[in-house]
Amino acid sequence: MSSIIEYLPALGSGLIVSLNVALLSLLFASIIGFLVAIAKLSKVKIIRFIATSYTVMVRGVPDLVMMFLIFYGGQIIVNNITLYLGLDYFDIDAFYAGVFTLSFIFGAFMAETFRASILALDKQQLETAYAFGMTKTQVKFRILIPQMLLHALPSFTNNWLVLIKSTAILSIIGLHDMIFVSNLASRSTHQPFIFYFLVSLAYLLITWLSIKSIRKIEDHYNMSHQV
Amino acid sequence: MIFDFKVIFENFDFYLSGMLMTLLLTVTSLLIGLFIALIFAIIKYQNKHKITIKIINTIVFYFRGTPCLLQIYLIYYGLAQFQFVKDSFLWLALENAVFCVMLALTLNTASYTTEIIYGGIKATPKTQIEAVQAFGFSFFSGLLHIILPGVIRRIIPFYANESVFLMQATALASTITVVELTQVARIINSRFFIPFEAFLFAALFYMLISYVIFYSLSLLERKLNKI
Repeated sequence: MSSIIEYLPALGSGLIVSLNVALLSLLFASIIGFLVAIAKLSKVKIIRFIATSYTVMVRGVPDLVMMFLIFYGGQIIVNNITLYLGLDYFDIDAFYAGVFTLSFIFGAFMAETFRASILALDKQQLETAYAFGMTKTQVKFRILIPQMLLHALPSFTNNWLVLIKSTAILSIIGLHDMIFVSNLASRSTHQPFIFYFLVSLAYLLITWLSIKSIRKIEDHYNMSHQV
Repeated sequence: MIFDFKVIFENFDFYLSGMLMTLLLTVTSLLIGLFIALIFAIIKYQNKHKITIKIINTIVFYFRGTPCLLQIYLIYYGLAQFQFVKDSFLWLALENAVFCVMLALTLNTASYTTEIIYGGIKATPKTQIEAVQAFGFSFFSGLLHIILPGVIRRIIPFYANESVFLMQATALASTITVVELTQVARIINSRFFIPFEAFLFAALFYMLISYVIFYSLSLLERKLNKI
């Protein structure tokens, strides 16, 4: 018991690191996803092709392999650049590599989410809005985007739940998250089960809280426009 | 930067053994997981054994809400904490990293698949269930002959997603020294320091398997929907 209390502050800061990585990745993934979704619906063939190959590639490769590719491969690229520019050697930080990896992976999933929600929009509504004399920007911000976000919400939530669990793999490249701390703690205390179980409960709590709060948002908007 | 795939081809046999391990982990976990999920879903649908359903729901909630990496660590490192586990005959199996990964992945996919199948059964039209009862089918023969065939048709796209996720999750086995495809790539990388070639080659194989699973299940879906 005392060993758990001893490691509690470290586990707490690990939790904050995980949450930071997850939230930053969610932000970047949403931006990437939105842009790629628009690119996938573009009329220009080559843009569509690039966007589609990005999503096809990411969906086919395990996140762990993608992480190694970016972490180790990125280091080589950085080495080459620093060598070329005559700068000092520097190590890629696990935090930034992690955010980059997860944004890159979940950008592809978000792209599918947003693409589906754009396609689900009712064309007649837009026409009605134009007929009422709304400008293009008004239609975009008052009709298009609010509905799109509402349509995207269930799938967006799902992506977030997968994303938060995916942060676990970043402990392998040395991110000081909860699992990294538990690795250290279980080595020194010989109580791996207790520490890993504690961390899994923390993940369950995050998942549960996320589901609860998103339900609240869904209830609030209630999708009443669909009735 | 010049890619040098010569080393990869020189170590092709090593890669091949890794691929076989990846496939072994995938197929075993998927088959046993599907079997368990089917039983869980039927127990939930039958709605007779309240305590069993509570236990199933807890397992499903736990395995869906925590990272797969943590589940593997809990079984492989965590259980070794307890002396009574080490003394029992189970230790023969739990000592083995491959067995531990299989156990974790099986329970993981069983949890996700339980929800998929249960959702599929719940989506059966009420009239169909009433018709089955009106024709005097017993619970199990009605389920087997009438309801489940419809469920299978309904859940294939979701199950395709789940099996691809599970296949990609086998990459996590590399963290506990199982020599599967990702671990082979890591060993090759650490030996020759060629992260791009080593991991890209592994990624290509994962992509191939992912799309083979997607494609064959969508073929099956099309075939079943024709009837």
